[in-house]
Amino acid sequence: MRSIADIRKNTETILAVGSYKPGYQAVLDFDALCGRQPSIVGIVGGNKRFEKLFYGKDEVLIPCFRTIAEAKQAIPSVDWLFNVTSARRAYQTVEDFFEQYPDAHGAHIFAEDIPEVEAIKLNDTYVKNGKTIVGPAGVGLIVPGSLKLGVVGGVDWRQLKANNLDQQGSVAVLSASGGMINELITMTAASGHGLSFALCFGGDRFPATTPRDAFLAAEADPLTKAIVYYGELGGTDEYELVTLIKENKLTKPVVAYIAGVIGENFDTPVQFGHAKALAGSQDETASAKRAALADAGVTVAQSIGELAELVAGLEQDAMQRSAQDFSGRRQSLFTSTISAETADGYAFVGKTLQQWSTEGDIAAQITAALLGRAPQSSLTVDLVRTIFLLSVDHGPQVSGALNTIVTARAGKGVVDSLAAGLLTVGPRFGGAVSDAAREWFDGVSKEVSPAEMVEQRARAKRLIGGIGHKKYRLDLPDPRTVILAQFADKLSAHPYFDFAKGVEAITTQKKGNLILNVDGHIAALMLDVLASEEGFTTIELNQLIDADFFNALFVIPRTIGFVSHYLDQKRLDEGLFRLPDEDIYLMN
Amino acid sequence: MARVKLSEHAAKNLLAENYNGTAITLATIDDDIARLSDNETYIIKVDQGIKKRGKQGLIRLNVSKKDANKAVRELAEKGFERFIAEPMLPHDDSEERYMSIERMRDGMRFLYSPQGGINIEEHPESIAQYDDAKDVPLPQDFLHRIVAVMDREHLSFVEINPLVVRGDECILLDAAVLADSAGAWQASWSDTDVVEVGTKSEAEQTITELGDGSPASFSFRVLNPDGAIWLLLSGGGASITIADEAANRGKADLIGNYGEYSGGPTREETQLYATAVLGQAFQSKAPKKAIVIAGGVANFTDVKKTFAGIIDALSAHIETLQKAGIKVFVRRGGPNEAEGLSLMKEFLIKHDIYGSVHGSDEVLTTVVDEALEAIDA
Repeated sequence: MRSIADIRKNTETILAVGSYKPGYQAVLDFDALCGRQPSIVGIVGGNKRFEKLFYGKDEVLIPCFRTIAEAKQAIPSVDWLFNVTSARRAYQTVEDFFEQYPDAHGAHIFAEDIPEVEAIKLNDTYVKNGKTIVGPAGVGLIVPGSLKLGVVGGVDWRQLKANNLDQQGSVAVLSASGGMINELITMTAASGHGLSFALCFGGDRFPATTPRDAFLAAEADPLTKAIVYYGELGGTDEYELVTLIKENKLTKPVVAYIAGVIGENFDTPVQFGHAKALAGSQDETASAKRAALADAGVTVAQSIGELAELVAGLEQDAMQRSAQDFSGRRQSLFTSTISAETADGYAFVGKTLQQWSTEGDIAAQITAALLGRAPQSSLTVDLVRTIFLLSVDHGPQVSGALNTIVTARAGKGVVDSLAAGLLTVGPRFGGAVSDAAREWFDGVSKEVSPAEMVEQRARAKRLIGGIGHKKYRLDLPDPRTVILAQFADKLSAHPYFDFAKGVEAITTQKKGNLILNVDGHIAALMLDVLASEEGFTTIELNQLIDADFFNALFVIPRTIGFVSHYLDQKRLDEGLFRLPDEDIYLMN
Repeated sequence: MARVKLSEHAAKNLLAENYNGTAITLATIDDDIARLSDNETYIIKVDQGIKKRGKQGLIRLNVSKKDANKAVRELAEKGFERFIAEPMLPHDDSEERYMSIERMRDGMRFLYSPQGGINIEEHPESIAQYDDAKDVPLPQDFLHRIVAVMDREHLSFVEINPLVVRGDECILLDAAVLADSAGAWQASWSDTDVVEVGTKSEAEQTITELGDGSPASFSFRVLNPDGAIWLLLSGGGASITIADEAANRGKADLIGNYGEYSGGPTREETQLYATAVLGQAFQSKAPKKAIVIAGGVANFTDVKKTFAGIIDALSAHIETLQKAGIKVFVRRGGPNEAEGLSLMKEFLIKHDIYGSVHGSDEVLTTVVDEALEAIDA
């Protein structure tokens, strides 16, 4: 088992898997009370990008991931797994975790009903190889001041504070029962004692970390002066403790309560609440285990009230109730990371507006706005600037411009006319940049060849986003794409552009105008620049595509084009536009 | 949640090769018996997980197909509904062996005795223990097959007694199996193969069904139907500790039930649980009764929410409680402790059924002492 003294270095981190926000919040409340950084660094599950939790009275965003493998890409190293998945998923989750994080110290399994076969496998595969698995069917491990792995100690910050769990004490509490460990923690704190650590090994027949492991950890811990133990009828783990004491491997004073004498009042064995809590033979009864422990020198209480008196008699710790108070905090409805109103005026993506105006580059500002942070490479800004300069307007005939013009001539103002144009943007007009990005991204990340992709689309009778132009052909190149393509030369690697050009090489053999068009170029080159110049991972690129980021590269410059068409029409003022009759074929 | 007993028929179906026993239930008796052969004689046994059936007269030997119905009905009169019919296997008592295998943390533990049969307990010295299958003096193929079945089917304990060995052939005359209920979803056996010893009260049945349909856990067992103290407890460990207090006072016989809810049940689930417990308590013929609602300091179960559910249940039975002079004694801690306790205290006082209400600053078991005093008074 991981040494408690090492855990007190206060650097250990947790990956949480499963959906249990109150439990995660309690861990961060503990961290805030202790004054350590948030220990949960990622959450797997929850179908969102971030979980918003309180850290003290502030809020923090903990990143969420779909799988442990995805978490590993963003968080290279983690110490512990807080596993709240269901009994059917729990074992697999532990396996997946150690596959990704082979150097992690251990895991806590919250679920009840883990099959015995799997519990034994946890012990054989992990515990025997130095990992610490706390559970199953337990509430975890808490090292006051340092680490809370599980719901142990409570999920309400008031409980944590009342029991002084932010400070180190001298009493170790070990328990089979999750409820009773908190009872004993409360009992210990109420009598003026502090906790060195508390571990609940769970009420199952084969806990992965055994009472023996936990007692040895308490023995080895320099801060632990005494051990309070809660055990139950069923199983024979207590006899191992007797052996430890007799072998002189456990020398610290132990006070214990073994529950379940009630079970001896009935003719047939009673199955109590925990899976292990059934005395199948005489040596598994509470009385037999009490007698064996007492014989070995453990101070055994006959009732929980007597245990409280024994605990009160242990050497006192100097504890001081924390002055922190998290009451009255309220979760915000929105989070913003890009802008604020400050004493210096308005801040936008890392700079004040004064700074932006001094630097004087609108392309740099828009690039930062799109990324949500300052760009790392001037090449990114250059590409954005070029895209904008080339996309501002493509003539009054295109649907969006036409709708702006018609609306302007109907006497509407700038906002209405612009909106009419923008609302035209969609799958057939201007909205193809995101589609094209999806094509190139899927092709590269799924490692299909351009030929395979073209073949798949042909069979499905589907067009390929970013391919084809009504006028330009291979032998009559689009002058805009010639300019864009130069950006590829400035990059050391451009897999998305290569893939898109590979697709073009095949489609143009079928038909001369099936070229890589402007949208296709913008999508491919922006993917390449973000990956190589801005350090975007494939997961992040995928998220950008899902967020329709690439169509924004069209919408922003084209807004200028639409506004200019609007103003142009106002200058000309030709009156209301009505289609001439001959332009409509009336089929009545 | 724990180890459960499978019916002998289900156990042998898993363990024996070419098993030819027939399960018979009262509900389907005619169809079941129709499957028996005219040319065999059968042994018919009650199949409800009961030990020492021979000594209790729960077995009929040498039954022909035409007499099977009568034999089953005779056994059914003793209060049973599940049976098993197997072709008689003529053999000599001296051929009977005893064998058991139990899953332990470090592998399987084997027990074997060459003197098997119904009197095995009379010569415990003949039982030898082995930690490795290869040391057990039984056909190795047989042992390996049983262990493989145990791993695949999540069986924790297999006892075969008697076992008849003829060369490489091993015949299971009787088999008892404890299966790990947590592995049921991966195994080929199902809930219908599990036998319960004894019958369940209505409340026990209701609470079993409640637990089956919820991520929270519920248990309830009647210990003394005419008990005076009825326990509505939360938490697997705290519930035993609280029940222990009655045993410590020498008053275990006054305890009506054991049971607990845990794992953060909803208000509605807690109400259903409490209603079932109250229903059982009202049936008790004890002259004075008390209700103890108690639990440890919860880690995550919300005291306010679960207490609201219990109050819902108590509200529906206020008159019954008042008429019987039943007082309610409460101790609980955890999230929303203060709110939950004041809600409960106000309710109990208003309806004149207040015994006591304590929070986490009072020892867990004080309420039991108070309840015992109240029924003594």
